[in-house]
Amino acid sequence: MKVIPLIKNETQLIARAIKNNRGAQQCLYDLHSGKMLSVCRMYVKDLHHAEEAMLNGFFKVFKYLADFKNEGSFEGWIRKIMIRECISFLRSEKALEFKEEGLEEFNGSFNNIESDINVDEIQQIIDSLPEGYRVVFVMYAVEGYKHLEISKMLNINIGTSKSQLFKARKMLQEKLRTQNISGYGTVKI
Amino acid sequence: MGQLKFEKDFSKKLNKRKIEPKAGRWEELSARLNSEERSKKPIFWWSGIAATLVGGILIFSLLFNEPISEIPLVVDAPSEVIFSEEIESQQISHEKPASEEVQEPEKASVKPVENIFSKKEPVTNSQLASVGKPQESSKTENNQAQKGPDLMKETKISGIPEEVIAEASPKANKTGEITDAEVDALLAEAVKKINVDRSARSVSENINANSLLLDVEMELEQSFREKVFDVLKEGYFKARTAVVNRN
Repeated sequence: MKVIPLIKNETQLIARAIKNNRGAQQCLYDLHSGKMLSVCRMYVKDLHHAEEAMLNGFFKVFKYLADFKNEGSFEGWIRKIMIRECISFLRSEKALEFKEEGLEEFNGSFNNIESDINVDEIQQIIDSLPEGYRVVFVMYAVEGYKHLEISKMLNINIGTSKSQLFKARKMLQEKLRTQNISGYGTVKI
Repeated sequence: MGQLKFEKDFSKKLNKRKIEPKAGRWEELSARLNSEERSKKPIFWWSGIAATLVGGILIFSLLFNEPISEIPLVVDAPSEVIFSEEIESQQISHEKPASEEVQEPEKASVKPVENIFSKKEPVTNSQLASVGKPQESSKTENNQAQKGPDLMKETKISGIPEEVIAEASPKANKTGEITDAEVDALLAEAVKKINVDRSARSVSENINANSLLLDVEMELEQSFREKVFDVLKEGYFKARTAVVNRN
């Protein structure tokens, strides 16, 4: 009952925001900015830069809002724009470099460890990863993209995407282990 | 290859997280959106300015094309008048000594010449008066031609006997009689003089002051037009680059 009016409201807000209604645009910004800054922060270490990337993303959202077809969720559409904006930001900073590697070397197993750390600690651990590892890991493990999609978005081979994920997992496991996190079983990639 | 347990935990916690942006970020974004909207509008303004520039160029070209045919008429007219006046004064100067030197018995033969000239004078004056503005010599000539072939004939004929008589009169006074040989000699001299005058006139017509003035006027006009076009061109290119930079 409560969800339907919210969706209706968002649709109305989008319709108004398309007509450059600043009030409607501000409402949409207020609704999604918190979550979108969190998304940007996963990719960009510096909060200030993450905010810049988020603002650029919102600017594009409002600029191309008429292109949104209401086919998927609005949040998902904004999220995709934010991720692309973060990738382009990292590229502009020349922070995003991938070494093309084959997957054969990275066949191995992982201890299926479980973590009980808070979100700030998670962010810290993710921040400690190299840029390439971090981006692929976040896209795969947090956003749920497939290797094919990641390879297309980052202009890399699928093998490179897999190898980056493998290395990221390895590093994270090591870090979690040092934080005395208990492990359960093993998982093969 | 599925998600690891810690990855699921990471995803769950990170997707729940919200980081509120700093205050004033919306104002920043709003200002950017406003500037984006404004930058769209000036395109119409600049296109309007460009259109007015083009219109201005067209108007200028029309304005500058018209006076070219008119200006020389106005400017050339005084020179024509002066030229005709000069001719008249020359003619009068030629005539005056003759009329002074001519004695009473010869007055009868001189009179028709004077009459003819006196007829000619009012014609030129009336032409000038009727024109009001100084006009082309061709116009005055046309008017003369329109007045009738008789007058033209008179002016042409009047030239010969006038001079002949002027030359002949002193000799006739000296001797009292003029022989046929003297008359022939005088006629030959008169013919020579007329030929010289004609050649002089033809030379003066070939090196026409009017045509020279016209040429100079045309050159001046062209250079001025070029300057104006250059200025307009510069303005147009500046406006265009400004539009491009804005975009």
